Amino acid sequence: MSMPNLADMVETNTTTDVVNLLLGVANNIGLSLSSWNPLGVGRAIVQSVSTIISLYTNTVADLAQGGYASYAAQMRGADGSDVTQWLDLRGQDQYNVLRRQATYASCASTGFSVTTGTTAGGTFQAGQFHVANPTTGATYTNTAAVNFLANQSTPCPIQADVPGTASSSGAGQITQLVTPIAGATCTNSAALVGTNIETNAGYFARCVTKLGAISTAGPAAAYDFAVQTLTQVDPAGVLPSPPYLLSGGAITRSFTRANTQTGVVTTVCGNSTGAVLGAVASILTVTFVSGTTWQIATTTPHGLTLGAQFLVTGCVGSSGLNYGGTAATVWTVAAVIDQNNVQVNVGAVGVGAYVSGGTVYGGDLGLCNFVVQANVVGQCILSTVQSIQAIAISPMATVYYKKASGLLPGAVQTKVSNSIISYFAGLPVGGVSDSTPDDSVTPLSGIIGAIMSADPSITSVVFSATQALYVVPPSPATPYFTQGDVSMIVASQPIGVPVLGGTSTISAVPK
Amino acid sequence: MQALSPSWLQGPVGVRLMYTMAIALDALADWYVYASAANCPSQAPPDAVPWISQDRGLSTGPQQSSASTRRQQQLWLDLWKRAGNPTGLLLAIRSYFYGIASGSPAVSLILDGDPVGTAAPNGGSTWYQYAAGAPDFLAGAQDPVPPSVERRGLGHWNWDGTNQCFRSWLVIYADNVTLAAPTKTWGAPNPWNYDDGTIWGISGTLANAALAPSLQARARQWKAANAVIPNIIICFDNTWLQPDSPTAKLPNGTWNNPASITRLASPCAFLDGVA
Repeated sequence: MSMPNLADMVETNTTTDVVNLLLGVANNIGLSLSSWNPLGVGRAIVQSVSTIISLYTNTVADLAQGGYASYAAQMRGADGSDVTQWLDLRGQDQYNVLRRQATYASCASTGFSVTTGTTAGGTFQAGQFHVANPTTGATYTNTAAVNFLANQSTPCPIQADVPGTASSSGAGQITQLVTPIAGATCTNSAALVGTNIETNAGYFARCVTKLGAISTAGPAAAYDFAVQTLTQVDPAGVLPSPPYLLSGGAITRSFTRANTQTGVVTTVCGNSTGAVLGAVASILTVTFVSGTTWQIATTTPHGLTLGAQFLVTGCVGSSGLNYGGTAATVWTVAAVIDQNNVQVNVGAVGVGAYVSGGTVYGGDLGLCNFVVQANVVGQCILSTVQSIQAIAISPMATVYYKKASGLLPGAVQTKVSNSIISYFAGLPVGGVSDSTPDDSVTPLSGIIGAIMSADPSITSVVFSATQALYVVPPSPATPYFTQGDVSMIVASQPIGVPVLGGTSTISAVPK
Repeated sequence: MQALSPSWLQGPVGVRLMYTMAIALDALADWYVYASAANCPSQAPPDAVPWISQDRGLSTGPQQSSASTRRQQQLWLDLWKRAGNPTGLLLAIRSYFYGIASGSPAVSLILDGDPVGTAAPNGGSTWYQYAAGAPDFLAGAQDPVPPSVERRGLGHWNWDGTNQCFRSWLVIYADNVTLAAPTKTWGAPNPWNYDDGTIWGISGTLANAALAPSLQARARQWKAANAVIPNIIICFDNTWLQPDSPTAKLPNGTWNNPASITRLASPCAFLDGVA
């Protein structure tokens, strides 16, 4: 027998198929099937063996599909969800690339607080205190022991109980105490961002991008792979383990291109929520503050926020700050003094008196830049990393859905918002081309599709007659309304990505 | 199987019944082996070949044979190892033309500058070239046949009067491929038709709407990230745009302008470049 076609190998056989096949063979070799008792031993054996063979044809089909990463990326379960096991095997064994796992939305104690009244809340060990976002229903739990005294605002670190974007909350949205404390309120000053597990399509695309990293000559794919794989365990032999997690989530999209006038390579990257924060800045000086606190002054804005992480390299004198030096670590911002000054707690590390030089790779963007410089950029090549630019889009729409679904309008609004957010997160940097060549847009048709697919009960969507979408481009551009596609061009570059500008403009009406 | 059967299945009917089972189980075992081997380029059935190319980040040319594609798949790591350097880029461009009757075309990559700095210490150009029909890989070799390298002094390749080392130009010499200079003129047979109506400035069986985007995608994928290719040039006269071409058959400092008289007079079609 010669090698069958792949299409035949991936086709499964039912028990009936196999029974008919076996009976055909039996007939050909002279067995008199007409004389077989329907409940006899012969038919029972054929039926039993056929059932087993049928099951094994499923295994053959899986084996055939799972032999290719590209095919495995398209495997779906009965419910339409990604089958991940085969691509995980291919990704790890064929490309040595691990799938990005879902992350929990969380914040440090500075991002969430509980304000008590005259009643003390008492002490809760980690895992004992629970709060919720009343809009989405997502719940969160404290990750460290906390004691709520009376008449105080007490900071408390929390983490979502379920990983993924469904547990993300904007600032000020976690306001419900699940663990009751009489007279107390709570709120989060920081946004909590969780990310979903990497899809098969995204994972496969990243695996193939890895091929560019094989060459020392640095094709564009090598740059993209470096930034998109930053969250993996020590992905490039640079960052320390345990795995370093970017505070804004993994870089999920990027593209690399050369400036046609200078040849400088720019990698534009973004995460699932939009822009990547941070910057790269030269150090002006380093000064001792008190205790174990030191202050770093930069010549240009450092782009750091409280709690953000950063690396220092090339600092003469204060060499204890340098990555790979005494500390060999990523620092965390203890205080932001102003846009050019941050403080850091160095613990037991000996910093040393500042002499000259040094660069701060600040925040997620700075770390992306650091990894690209350390692992990809060749001699005589200038490279930088730039964030995508978020373009806020607010659909001005009324969504009609079947009353029989039993859904409340708020629940439908949430589903629609999540569907649009998911659609936006999957678009490439700069959007897609519509019918006009070289155009870079977020198509209105795609937004309509995301709304309609949010829930089976949705029957139609009606946009405002004159103002379908409200668009807020990055400053200094002026917000505007549009009835059509939204351009993703920012400052003459295709670096825009859409983010949902707000849900209040979407209403849901049962019919 | 017969040996394993109980005595009541050793009779004429029982043996036939077990033989039927054995055939099915044998076939199943064969299919396990086939399914396990189907992702190997040398063993894969024809409809599996495109999946392997996707896995290995390779594109297939419009007329590339299955055997050529399988060979390319076996060389995937050897090819990717050269992504970003002139050899890798030229091989990727040549592979688009695999399978055409006349063989692989001659191609050049002209670097605006001399990285070695011996022949042209003040700039100049460096020419990486594969001759028409030259093999890319010798049988059994893990390294490709390298392109020839020629260096010329400043002003020899004068695109626009400047010398920027990150720029390079791809030239495909079409006398050996299924592309040809236009044979029809603007306006015939209708006001908005040009040449044979398929692609600007080129005719022939490969001259279709997929040609330019395919070549541009390969150039973008296989060039160094910092390399800027202002144009991909299809040259219909191989005495032009060569290291030893006379000055009259080389850019004269005005070719950055599409309306340049000497550029318009050249036997070339100019596709948009990539960055």
